[in-house]
Amino acid sequence: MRLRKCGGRFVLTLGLLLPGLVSARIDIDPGNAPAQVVSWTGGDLVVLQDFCVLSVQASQATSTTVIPYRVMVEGPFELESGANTISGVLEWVDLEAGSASSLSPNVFTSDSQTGVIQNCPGGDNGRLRITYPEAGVAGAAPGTYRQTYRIEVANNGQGKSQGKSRLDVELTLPDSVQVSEIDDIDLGTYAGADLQGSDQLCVFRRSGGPYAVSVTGGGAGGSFVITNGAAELPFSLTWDDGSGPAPLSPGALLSGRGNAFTGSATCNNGLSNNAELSARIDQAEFLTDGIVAGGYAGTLTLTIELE
Amino acid sequence: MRLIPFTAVRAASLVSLSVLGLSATGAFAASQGTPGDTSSGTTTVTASVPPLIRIFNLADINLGTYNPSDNDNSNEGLSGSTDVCVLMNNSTTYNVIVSSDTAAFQLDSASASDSIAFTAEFNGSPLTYNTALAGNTPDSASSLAVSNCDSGDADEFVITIDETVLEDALAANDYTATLTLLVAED
Repeated sequence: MRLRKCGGRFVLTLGLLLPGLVSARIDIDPGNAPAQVVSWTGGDLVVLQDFCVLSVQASQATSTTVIPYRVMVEGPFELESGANTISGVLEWVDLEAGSASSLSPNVFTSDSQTGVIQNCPGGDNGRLRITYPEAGVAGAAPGTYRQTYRIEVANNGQGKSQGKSRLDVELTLPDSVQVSEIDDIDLGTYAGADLQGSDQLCVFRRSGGPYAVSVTGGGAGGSFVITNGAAELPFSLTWDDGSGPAPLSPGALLSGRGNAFTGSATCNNGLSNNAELSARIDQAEFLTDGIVAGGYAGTLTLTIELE
Repeated sequence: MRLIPFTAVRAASLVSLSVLGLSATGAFAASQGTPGDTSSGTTTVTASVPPLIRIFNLADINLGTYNPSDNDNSNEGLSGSTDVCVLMNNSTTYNVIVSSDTAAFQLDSASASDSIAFTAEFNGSPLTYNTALAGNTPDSASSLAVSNCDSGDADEFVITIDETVLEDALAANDYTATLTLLVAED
């Protein structure tokens, strides 16, 4: 604008000497990306949105002189549901170069992204990739989470040097339960006394409410047995949610269990396990006719239910 | 006439329990649940039972009193026996080793240095002192913990003192030995 006050001739001269400073263009399409309503079924939750970023060294969108651009996304990067949040990790993928740049809230990348000409004849050249790590999603409280990601692209052309877009993301997490951190239980070798063993595991409920548990064994009617060929060793089971061991019957729901973990579906990778399954074989069983020497094994299926 | 009274021959039993280090653990792996209204996972329970063998139901053997007046041309030595139950959790055979606190198949005098040699048999097979007699078939029962094996299924342990031994000049006294029967899987 200042140059025009000095007269057209001066403007023309400067324009010839420094063409890069007087005109450029950048645009991002779509300007408003379609909202993405996503669900989660396990694993990292990944949201992708591709864009066409026009970045040329000319004021006309039809210019074919491509120049690089930079990109920035406004923070926060978290999905929000009231006071509850789920953190996301954002990257900008340069589809032309096949490279990805990590994004920090409100911080531009370097001018290293590959621009293209109008309408991206070779296909979109930029991709916003949002990753919500599994641990954060799995442990989040139930609710509907939303965020609007505002994207800004710019180049150094000093013409129309900015383009903006937005992407709305919505995720609904229903209340749910999850059992994890389960290990096999080796009761050891009979040596003249009862054999017993246990496994501490994790019961997660998104809302933290009560749950019910049932266990089915591999014997007739789901009975709790370990076998060696035709030989069967019966055993008993108890479940302890922290209030003391309660006996389990094959396939029967043991309701009213509490102390479900929240915030981490794996009880912080097992560091805060909150339930214990214990097995016990009475020594008399080992002496019963037909109980041959050897290794015995059997599988238990544990089922946790919302209550 | 010389009377040589005998008291009991005590047969002590040993239960042999050997652990071969069998392990039931293998390539089992627990599985974890996925989130939902219900969530299921699995765990594998394992245990090992070692080869077990038990000998029991032995009784003391009282051979009675030797009476030389019965001496004639027939062998009228002394003999006694006890039933023995041997149970196993393997369908194999077992061996038995008999030893004595007298360090031989002999009864020692309670107060003198005299000894009386005897022979021993297990299920009709002669035993050599402290030497395994293999190939014995275990008895049957509903449990290794029962107080007796099935009727008519017991083994028999017999000791015999030949009359020629008794005819030797021996001091009148009680003669005893404590025998140990050790059984093990063949």
